[in-house]
Amino acid sequence: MPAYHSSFNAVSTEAHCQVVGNFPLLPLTTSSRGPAPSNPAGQMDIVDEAISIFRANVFYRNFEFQGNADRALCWIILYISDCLNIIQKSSSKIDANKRLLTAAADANFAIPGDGNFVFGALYQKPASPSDANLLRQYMSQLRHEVGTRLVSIVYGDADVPSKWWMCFTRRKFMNKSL
Amino acid sequence: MSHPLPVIIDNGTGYTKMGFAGNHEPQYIIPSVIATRDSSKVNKARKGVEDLDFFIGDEAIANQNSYSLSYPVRKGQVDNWDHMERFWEQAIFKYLRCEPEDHHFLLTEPPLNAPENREYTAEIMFESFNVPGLYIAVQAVLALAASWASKDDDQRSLTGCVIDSGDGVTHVIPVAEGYVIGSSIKHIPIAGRSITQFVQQLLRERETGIPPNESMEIAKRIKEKYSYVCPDIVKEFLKYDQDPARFFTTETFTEAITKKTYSVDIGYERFLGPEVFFSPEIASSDYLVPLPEVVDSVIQNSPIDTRRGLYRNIVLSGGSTMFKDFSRRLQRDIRRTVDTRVRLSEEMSQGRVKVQPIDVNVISHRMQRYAVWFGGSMLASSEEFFTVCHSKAAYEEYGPSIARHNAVFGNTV
Amino acid sequence: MIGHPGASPAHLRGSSHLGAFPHRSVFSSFPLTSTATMILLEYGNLVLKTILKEHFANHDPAKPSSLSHNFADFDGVQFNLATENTDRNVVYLSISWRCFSELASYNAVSHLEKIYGPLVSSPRPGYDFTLAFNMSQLPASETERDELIENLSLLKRHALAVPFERAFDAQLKGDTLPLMQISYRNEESIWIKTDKDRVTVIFSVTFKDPADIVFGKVFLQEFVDARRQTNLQNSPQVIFYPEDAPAELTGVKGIVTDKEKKKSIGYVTFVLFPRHYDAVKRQNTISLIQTFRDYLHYHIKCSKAYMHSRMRARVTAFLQVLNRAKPEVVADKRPAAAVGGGVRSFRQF
Repeated sequence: MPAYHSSFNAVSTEAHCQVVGNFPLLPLTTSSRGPAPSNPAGQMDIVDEAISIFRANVFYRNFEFQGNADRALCWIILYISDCLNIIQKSSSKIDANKRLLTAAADANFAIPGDGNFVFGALYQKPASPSDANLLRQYMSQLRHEVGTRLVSIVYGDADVPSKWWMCFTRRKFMNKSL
Repeated sequence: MSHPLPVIIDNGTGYTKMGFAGNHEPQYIIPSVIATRDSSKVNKARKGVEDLDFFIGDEAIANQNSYSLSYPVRKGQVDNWDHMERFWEQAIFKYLRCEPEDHHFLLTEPPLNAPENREYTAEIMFESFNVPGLYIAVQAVLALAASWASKDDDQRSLTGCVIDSGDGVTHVIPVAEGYVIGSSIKHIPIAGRSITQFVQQLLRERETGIPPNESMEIAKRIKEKYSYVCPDIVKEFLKYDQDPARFFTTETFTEAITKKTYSVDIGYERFLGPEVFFSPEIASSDYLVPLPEVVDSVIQNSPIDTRRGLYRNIVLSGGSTMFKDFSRRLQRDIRRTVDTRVRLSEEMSQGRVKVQPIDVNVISHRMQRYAVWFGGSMLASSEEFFTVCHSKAAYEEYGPSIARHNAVFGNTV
Repeated sequence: MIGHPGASPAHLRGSSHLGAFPHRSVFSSFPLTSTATMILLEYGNLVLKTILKEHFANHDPAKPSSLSHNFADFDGVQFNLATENTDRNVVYLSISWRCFSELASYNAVSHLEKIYGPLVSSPRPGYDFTLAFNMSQLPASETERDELIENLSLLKRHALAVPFERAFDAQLKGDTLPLMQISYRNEESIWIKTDKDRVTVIFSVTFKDPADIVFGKVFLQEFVDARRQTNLQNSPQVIFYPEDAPAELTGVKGIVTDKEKKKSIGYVTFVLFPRHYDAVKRQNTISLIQTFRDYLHYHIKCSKAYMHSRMRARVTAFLQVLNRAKPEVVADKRPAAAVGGGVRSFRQF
């Protein structure tokens, strides 16, 4: 079986949502400010999906993009790996939360079209600087959501991260990292 | 009893399974290894009997400090006939305790074995051991016969696709009416050992208390005791999240030397291990084709008039096919591929062709672990066996070439 | 492939078996030395030991597992080791052997009852003799369990020991017995003759293969000669009669007289005196002498295997010489893939 794909591929075209380059701005359940459309209550969003697929896909080395949502998915999966590494260095749940919020607030990360972007030309460069700015804001929102949700999943009620999550820190999806 | 019990010896690359016909299990399963002494180090007290100074199987491994080990079977084929002959000598007289002059012998061979190898085998069996009768059976055909144990009489067929997975290699072998379709056989490098290694790797990434020199053995035990095949790994991860108490376990082991105990948590490797057969990519970077696809392509490469029969009877054999629900997943994945193909061809014909549904069955049965040996045991307990064996008289009349061909039989069992 | 007997001096080891009589008896209660285990066959059945050892180790009183094994031993013996579904705790060990009725006529059953005591059970259908033991009453200690296993594995040995014991006992009392015949194999028998001062054991030995006749005769002659060595002078006298039965067997039914058939038969006589079966040596003597025929055939086969390996080595050496004579134009051709990875057999050409 090949790696898992996003179930949002069908709804990630221009007909359904805004797409910058070929990165979709899918709805998100979030309290952080930004361009993301709001997700209908009680429904899974792309971040939920990425977190649940992460543990399977992190073992795979190959991936074929079948739609725009796959691009969001892959990028989030790599960011999850980043977060796990941050959690590993943290001393407590509170510390981890703080570090992850700091990481999410750092606007200085590579977006599609940047020279050091991990997927290179597989993700199209945004058509204009304003589009680029929009995408960066959306991706910041994604980072914020991944960080907060992951802390509660990985720590639960404990003050040490679950070994059943930390065991994936050494794996690299597609042998890549952000 | 008109005949003394026939002897069945299945010499595999890793293990030799041997015993008497009519039993459900082989009486011995020993490593296919022989420990011999270098001629320079011969003990004076043993002068004159140097050629008896050797061990086989577990005893060989126990004596490896003062003897040198060699493996007479390589990749399923006999590689060193001197060692093989002595291995048999001890297997027959010391382990099975029988006079080879009294018993008929059924030996096994891998598919595509060279006819010369059969001749060498016959030379040894008839000339050294004076066996009254010898039959050399293809392992895959025996595995097919073994699956009869789970079927009604009218479904007994010698057409089927055998998936034989041991420790080192997995073979996919199509057989039509008792004859191997040699040109379509495929071997894949994923088998028991690759799964053990993957489990070991997963444990290393998570567990800290396992002594490095025992980690391989622990991985093997966890694999054998806890592994199963799941329908979908993402959903399986969620099951573990929802009901951790049911899926996670802890087992305590004792270190061999220090006798200290340590505990190991067991989790995702339970289903990720066997998943390697279905998603090889997760463990290997150089082999990527999943087993169901290999099986499908083997059958598609076989003659067109055999394909339905092959899909209908996909038979499992060997220890690494014993994972719970292995057959179910394999059947589902193969059926998916087949159904997609059928639908596609129907669409392309724009409704002009209606394909008769193709029946895909993966057969799992009780005798699967030692299926080859068991198939031999079953066939050799029929009266017909004695008529298809090559006899010593025929050997003496015509020479070793008679062993090149071994008649297919078993339709009357 | 009849070989020149001289080609295999390593195999003229007939003396080992015989020579073992006086030497081995000294430490008869000790395990065989490693050299002796290489040369001699074990007396107990290893299949039985292996199965029982595992069965005992894995025994779960709450859920006793079932057993069902058929296996053979030398001389056409067939064993059955099984449990019944009514009570899986009870394990039955049954033996069937063509000569069992003869042994029974020499009081084998009461002799075996002395050894196995309460384990003796009524024979299961199709078998001559059955032992039964209950897994719930296994001895607790490992050593006692091993002793039980060892003892069970010697069932065939103990059964065949009966006529020997009987002859030795009678002779020591000064009685003579009528000639005892044990037709222990389809075409071969043992006869035991008790005289005033000695017990004579006669084996008929047949050979199925013309090469074996040569090997067999060389071996048997070696037995006779070995006794001339000073350290083996106390061992029993061995006389080898090719083709014609010794005088002791005149008038015995079934002795082959056909001129052609006789060629593959020989008779071996062991003459035993009380010193060979005193209280210390008796059991060991019985064990060794019983396994004589299988011992002989085992070593004939080992000798052939040894010669085969020498022949293969010779073929390889010849091939090297031949290959040196080949002109060197094969550089652009790939060497023909050797069948089975460079297999060499002695029928290479």
